[in-house]
Amino acid sequence: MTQPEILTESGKRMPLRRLTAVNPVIYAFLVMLIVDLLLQPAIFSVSEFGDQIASALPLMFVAFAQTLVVLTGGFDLSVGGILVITNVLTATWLSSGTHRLGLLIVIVCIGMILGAVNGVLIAYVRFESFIATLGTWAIYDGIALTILPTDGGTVPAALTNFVNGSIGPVPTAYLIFAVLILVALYIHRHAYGTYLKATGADAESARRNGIKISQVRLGAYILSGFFCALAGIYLAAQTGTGTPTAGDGYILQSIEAVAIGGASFLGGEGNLLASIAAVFVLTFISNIVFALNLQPYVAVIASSVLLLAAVLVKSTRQLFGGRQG
Amino acid sequence: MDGLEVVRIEKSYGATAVLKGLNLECRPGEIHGLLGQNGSGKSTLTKILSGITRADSGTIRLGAKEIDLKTPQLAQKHRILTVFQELTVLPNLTVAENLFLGLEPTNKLRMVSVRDLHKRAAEALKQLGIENLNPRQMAGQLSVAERQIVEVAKALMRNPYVLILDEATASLGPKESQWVFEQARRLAERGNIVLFTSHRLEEVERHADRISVLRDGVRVLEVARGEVDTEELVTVMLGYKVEQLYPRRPHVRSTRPVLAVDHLSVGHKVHDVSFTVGEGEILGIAAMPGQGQRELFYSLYGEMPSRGDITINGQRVRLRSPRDALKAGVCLVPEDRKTEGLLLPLGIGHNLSLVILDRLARAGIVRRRREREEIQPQCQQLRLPIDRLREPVGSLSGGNQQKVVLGKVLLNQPQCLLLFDCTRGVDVGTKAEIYRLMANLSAQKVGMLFYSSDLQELVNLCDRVAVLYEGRLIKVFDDHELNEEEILKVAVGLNQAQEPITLSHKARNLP
Repeated sequence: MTQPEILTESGKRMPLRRLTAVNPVIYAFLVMLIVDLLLQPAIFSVSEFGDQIASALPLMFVAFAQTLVVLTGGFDLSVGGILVITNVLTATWLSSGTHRLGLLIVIVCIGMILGAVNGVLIAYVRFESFIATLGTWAIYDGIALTILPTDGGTVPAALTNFVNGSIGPVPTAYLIFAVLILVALYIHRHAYGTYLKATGADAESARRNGIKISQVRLGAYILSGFFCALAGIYLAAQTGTGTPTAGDGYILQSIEAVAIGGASFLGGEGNLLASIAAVFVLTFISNIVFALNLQPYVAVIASSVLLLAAVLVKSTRQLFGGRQG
Repeated sequence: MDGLEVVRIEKSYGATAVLKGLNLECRPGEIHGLLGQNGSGKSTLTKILSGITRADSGTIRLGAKEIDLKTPQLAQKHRILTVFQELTVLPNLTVAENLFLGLEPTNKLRMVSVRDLHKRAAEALKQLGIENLNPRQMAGQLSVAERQIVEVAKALMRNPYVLILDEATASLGPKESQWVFEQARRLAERGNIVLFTSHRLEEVERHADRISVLRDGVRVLEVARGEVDTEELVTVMLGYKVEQLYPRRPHVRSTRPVLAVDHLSVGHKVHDVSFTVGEGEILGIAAMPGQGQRELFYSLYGEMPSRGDITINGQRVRLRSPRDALKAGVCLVPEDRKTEGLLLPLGIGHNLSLVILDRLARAGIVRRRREREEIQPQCQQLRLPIDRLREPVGSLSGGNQQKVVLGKVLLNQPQCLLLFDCTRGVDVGTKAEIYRLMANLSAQKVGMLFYSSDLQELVNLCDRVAVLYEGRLIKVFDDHELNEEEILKVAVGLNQAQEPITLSHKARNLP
């Protein structure tokens, strides 16, 4: 027998959707890239651009961390705290000389544990992520200041040279960046990426679908800690010193990058690559402001305008994009 | 005993006992219908069986083995799959991602191949006889009916031994409902169990091999198909005899229109629709899902922009927002009480008074005594639990929630009421009360536009029924012509000359 035709009204797609479905951060990225290129073409030599990437990498790591948490529908304000703790640990422990690689791994693990503390508070004790990480942010900042009250410490020259140097002809920054892109692709293609989105969009539905939402959330905060630790270590290596007050700037900037990348702060929507692109956009903006010899605060204004524009694009799209959620 | 056995299950929420030693047996190979009013414990039972909530005491056996359903994962491991009344399809994932959620086909690195995922999803859908769903589409863009189908398909793909369908057909048209029951029958024929709940009695009577009736947290009746008649089932369900489900009311012939709609179009969904609703008249709208009824109703409530003329009480109005509509005397009772119109964490009292705070306040300060005075008679009229005014609305049963929505609407003293499938997912007892209320309103000269997915309701309550098909009003049935079968034929887009697709008996002819 033949099956009856069901759902006959379904499935028509408008062709225009395809064009507008492209994440607008791509357009912003291209525009800023071109403007920057026109204003200071010198920047785009291989080594100069490597420096650009290198200076953007810490924020990329943090934006990466933030995106993972935002996907689950949360906030991580403690990214700055984890960054500074791992940063000052790198600048104080590694100078002693022995077991440097082992110590680096320990520092990364500490970052993950600090993230896990957030994760447990949020996923199991059921704190609001905003409040929980607001608390741990201050605590982590305090711990960092206890370890290293003022800028200082030393980072072994080997690490600094590695980070600021190149492997063969390729600057290290390019390699780290490439690995980051691969990791982003991996996470999005991994089943965990889907679980992150599912949990963020509707935790109860996800739970009913058999997803262990507490574990998914915990995982996001641990990964966040991991990437913040990388940011902290990288920053220490790059500058050759520990900076216990470096973290605060990254918190709001990471949230800004995630927003420009088109993520939804209600959860379930966001893209690691888009957040990375957004970090580039922010970098280009400050480049442009520098090239035009404007005051630095103009960069802040410009990126904030862009942020609002990103949100505007999103809300208008929701307005005209038919059913969603 | 083989199959699924539930023994002396008890469950309380706070001081309220929901299940009081419930027993239930489902044999392998049967479709088991579960009947009961809202609040009888059906939903709680399905939640326990799917591992969402845990019973306080009692045992669950599957194939004579005692099982503990602590988490949804465990239930799924025992191949107990549930299609929930509140859909669990995730709007931000594609259809394919939803179908394979938790079972993603992965490579050695645990990565999901998107192409593979889409291919497999398309195959799986095809195997289930669903041709018109694009696996790549975001689930958030699907209609409720489509999401429901995805939900059922998702459960079927997981090879269930026990399939629980909780009101799975509530949002579906006849063809889709038939599909669901065909799949259920197929599953049962292979020795599995299907346990389903439905507020459509007729559906339960037709498809269930055996029926268990729950009332107040215990099973009060278990019968095989055809052993008792509908009337008795209803009586057992309610615990008392309903004299008359549909109230008798005089036929109203539209004299003075309360609402006149002239050449109304809404987007691509409603085309050039004209009609009038007279004082005290109930004009029914019959339509299969997605024929533009939602757009029609929401544009009349000012939630969607429309073209054409709308006249309310002789005044031409422009409805740009629900506020405009309310001012003009138009109120909407929506279908989805969970998301529309109710503030779940607030109490009944606050939910009701929210709409009339203007009236209650003097110099901006709400007079609590006035509030009580206004609300109490309303609660009495609706038979809402007056002693629980402070309890959050979210903790009330679905039927009571819908009554709160109605109460809110009535406090506005509307002249024209838009009822959009407001009896969907509501138990018989509450339905009867809503019907009674409609009759009362009709006597008070309130005009009503009433869309229902239940044709029986339309036939029994309306003065006239207009059929909406692909956004056009294609036929109006007058009082004396009202007949379910005829309306259905027109609503599915059949010309009178054509042979109708029989929907009723196909399910049994399966191989």
